[in-house]
Amino acid sequence: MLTAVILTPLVGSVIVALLGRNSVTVARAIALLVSLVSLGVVVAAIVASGGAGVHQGIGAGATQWWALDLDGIAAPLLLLTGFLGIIAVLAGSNENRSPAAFFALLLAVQAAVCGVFLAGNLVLFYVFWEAVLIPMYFLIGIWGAENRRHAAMKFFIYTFAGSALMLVGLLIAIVQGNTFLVSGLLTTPLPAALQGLVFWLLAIGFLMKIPVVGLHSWQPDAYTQAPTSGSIMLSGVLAKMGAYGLLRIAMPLAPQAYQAARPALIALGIIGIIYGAVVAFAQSDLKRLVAFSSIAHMGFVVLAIGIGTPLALGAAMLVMVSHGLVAGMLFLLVGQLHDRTATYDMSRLGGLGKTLPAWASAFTFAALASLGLPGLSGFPGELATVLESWNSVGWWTALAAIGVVFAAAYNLLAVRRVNHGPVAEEFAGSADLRLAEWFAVVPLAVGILALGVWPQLVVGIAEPAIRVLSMVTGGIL
Amino acid sequence: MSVWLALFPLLLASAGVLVALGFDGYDQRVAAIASVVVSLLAAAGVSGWMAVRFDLTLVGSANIAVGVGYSAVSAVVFLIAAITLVGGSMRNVEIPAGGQIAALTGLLAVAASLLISSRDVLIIIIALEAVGVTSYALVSVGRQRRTDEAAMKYFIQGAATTGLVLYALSILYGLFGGSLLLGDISASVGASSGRPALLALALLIVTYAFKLGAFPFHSWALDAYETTTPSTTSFLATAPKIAILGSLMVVMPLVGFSAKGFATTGFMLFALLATASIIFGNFGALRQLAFTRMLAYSGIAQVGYVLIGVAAAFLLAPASRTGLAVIVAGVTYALAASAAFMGAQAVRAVLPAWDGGVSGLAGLARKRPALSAAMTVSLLSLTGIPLTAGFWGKFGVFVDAVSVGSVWLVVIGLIGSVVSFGYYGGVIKSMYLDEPVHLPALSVGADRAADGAPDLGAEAAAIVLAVLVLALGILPLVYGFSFLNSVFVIA
Repeated sequence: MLTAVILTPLVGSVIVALLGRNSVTVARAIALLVSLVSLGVVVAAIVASGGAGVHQGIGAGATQWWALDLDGIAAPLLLLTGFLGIIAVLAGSNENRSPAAFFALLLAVQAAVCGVFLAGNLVLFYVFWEAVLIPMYFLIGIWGAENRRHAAMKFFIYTFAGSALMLVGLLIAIVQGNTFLVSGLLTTPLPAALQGLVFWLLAIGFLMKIPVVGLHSWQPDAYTQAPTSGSIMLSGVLAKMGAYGLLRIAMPLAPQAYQAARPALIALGIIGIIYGAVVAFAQSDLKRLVAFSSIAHMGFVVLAIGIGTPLALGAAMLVMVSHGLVAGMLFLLVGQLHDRTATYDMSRLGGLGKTLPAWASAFTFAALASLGLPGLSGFPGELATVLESWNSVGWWTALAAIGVVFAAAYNLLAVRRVNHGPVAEEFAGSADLRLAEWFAVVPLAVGILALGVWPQLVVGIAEPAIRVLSMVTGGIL
Repeated sequence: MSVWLALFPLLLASAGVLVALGFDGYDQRVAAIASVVVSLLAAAGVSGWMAVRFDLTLVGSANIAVGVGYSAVSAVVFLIAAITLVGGSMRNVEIPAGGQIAALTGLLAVAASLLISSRDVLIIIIALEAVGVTSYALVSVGRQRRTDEAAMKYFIQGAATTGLVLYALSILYGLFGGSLLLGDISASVGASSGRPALLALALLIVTYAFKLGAFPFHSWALDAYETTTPSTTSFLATAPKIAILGSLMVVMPLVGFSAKGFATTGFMLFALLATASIIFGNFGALRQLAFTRMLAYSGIAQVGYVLIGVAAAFLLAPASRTGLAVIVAGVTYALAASAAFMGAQAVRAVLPAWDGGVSGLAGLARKRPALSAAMTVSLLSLTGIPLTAGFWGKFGVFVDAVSVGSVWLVVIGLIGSVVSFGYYGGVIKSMYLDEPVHLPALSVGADRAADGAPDLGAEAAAIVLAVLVLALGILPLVYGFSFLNSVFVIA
């Protein structure tokens, strides 16, 4: 069953590549169908697991090379992946350059990411982690904007360098540790002497993917040069792989080292929140703004992981899913705008509230979600993070508040510059959202609203696994 | 097992070579190539069967080693030889030397197969020399430019190293036991205090480093691999190295593994060679603009990764010193590099005006998607990306290195891998992302007309090799490694 979660998009990818070559419509239809079925399979797998952790594989023990785990930490992220997979396919429906290859690669990314979230042993985890790179490289490099080649190469080299360090850590863990099964890590952490080294080797690879400030220089290029679907997957799903790696691999493997690293993680989180928000505030390029806002949102995730209480870890999960939806929606809308205006430059835009009223309302909604308006998905997770941060580090939390203020500023400023003000005459004749585009926008908005009112949707699924994790990592209850 | 059965694959392949030479005498090049290919495939089949069927068996008074890894390496060598001959066939039937190239390729495969099976000092020297001489001859016959310089350079340097290995093995033979068999010598070296053994160790290391083209004994390789036609290099530069590595793992116990105090020396020497090769090969390759010369440089780095495994073997517990990681790394390198060189051969047919530069590959993905995909798989494998065989090759040697506590070697290896994407990825980027530079076309469709007829043989060979690379990369995830482990072990 768990294997099917990976195989569905993978097989679908091959089918699209083979059958979709001659017709854009066929390619699009198959890709959409595959992504819908993939989400269905994810839901079915989670329902079948019944909330408890599931472990499936071929063979047993030390030779179980094909081993998959599904638990509360993976489940929300798998749902997010399946959901955003559909949105990414919808967002790519304008793609006319070899659409079959485009959708095939998109589905391949989805399959590999599902593999990361399900991987039940350290080797498989690394294999899928790297496997994400290749289709993403081509998505950015072939279908991206003007600077795509440079961005694709940079994306590959940076994340490959990060994962090389991660591989060193994994190798040490495999050779020196007592198990290479992920399910065994919780009960058999590494010998204390090795924990610090291994934790940081792994963490650098993970933090590179999130990314945190200092390891982020590939991110704005990749996010902005990628085609819309690629940006949705990059920010919505790939960034979560890093945080997932921390929760799933690094923390249980090296609990003492994690304890020692908590102040550093908290600092990195707070720096990310401030840096992302301040730099986003300074952007005039709308897509770059969204890219930097991702650094700020993921800063909350790193901060929450650094705090490490069950409530904070639950908040981290919540922020991850929320950010997936919000960043996904923002990239989607910005992409739709670019289809009409061929620009991301806010200084050339304006008055879209009059010319594209539907798009403008959706954009306002997404921007409000991004700044953390109560009732929308961004709020509960970030609030819980800030509260737990207050309990944990006291006044340092105030620094994160600076970021929150800037977040309000850049989001509202963007709305003002794009939606209000004098109408940009050159784009006055653009058509508003089409029906097909609504199909992508509305589910995201519904998701954001649903999570805002009912955060238990994610936290409830994640809670059992999180409780075990935080007990293992040192009982900071 | 009878000697005849043990030598059967060798005899089969040799017979094919003789028949080919007969056909070549009457200038029947198609028949000559076909007879070598068929006999090599048969030999590969028999060797493969023996690898699965037999544990290590020492046959005859010369202790010919067959079964498991010994036969498996032979099978891989025969198989790659056959595939590359098919790949080069379209070109080779057109040139006068085509039959000879086929015969020499078969002979080189036979020599490599003999080398991996040898446990007798004399036969090792003969086999090493046979590998060397057939290689010089292939470089000379298979060259694409009218110069014998590369072959001469190779020959002269090779002759010098022959002297070294002769000296090393005669020291061992003379001082330790008066037996030609490695097993006997090894036992008495282990009991000795051994300055002379240290000398022998050093001489052997130089010899094998030369044969493998490791830095700083690499200079012949760059010229030899670049001046030879890619389809020939596709075998010459790849599969024989597996046999040389296997032989190294068989010979080293002689002086290094078993003798007291040498383990650390041996480890350090090989670790140094590995480090130097990785650094030199990678940064050398990074500077290259020509595709095959880049592959030649990167081959130095690839040997470096494998040597990490050789170095680690010195410090491993004897029970885990199976040579497995080294052989698997060698096999995965050979398959992927072979596919990449073969890709170059295929590109030359498609783009007759190709100057050999990486940038000249721009737009290839649109013209020949399957070929480009095969080349991409092979380059990703050489980089060591998971889902390709190359990942498991590096993974194995890195695991060995970590388990003997030398994480630093792994770090060097991984830095090398990241750097290597700079040039391997550069080729992928060129094929898929870059727009071809169009010269002003005189009429519509002029640039289409400039494309040559595809070399379907070379493309098929590259694709088959790439499929093998993918299969070896993916299947272990599902079925685990027990099959590979049981087949490629050479202890």
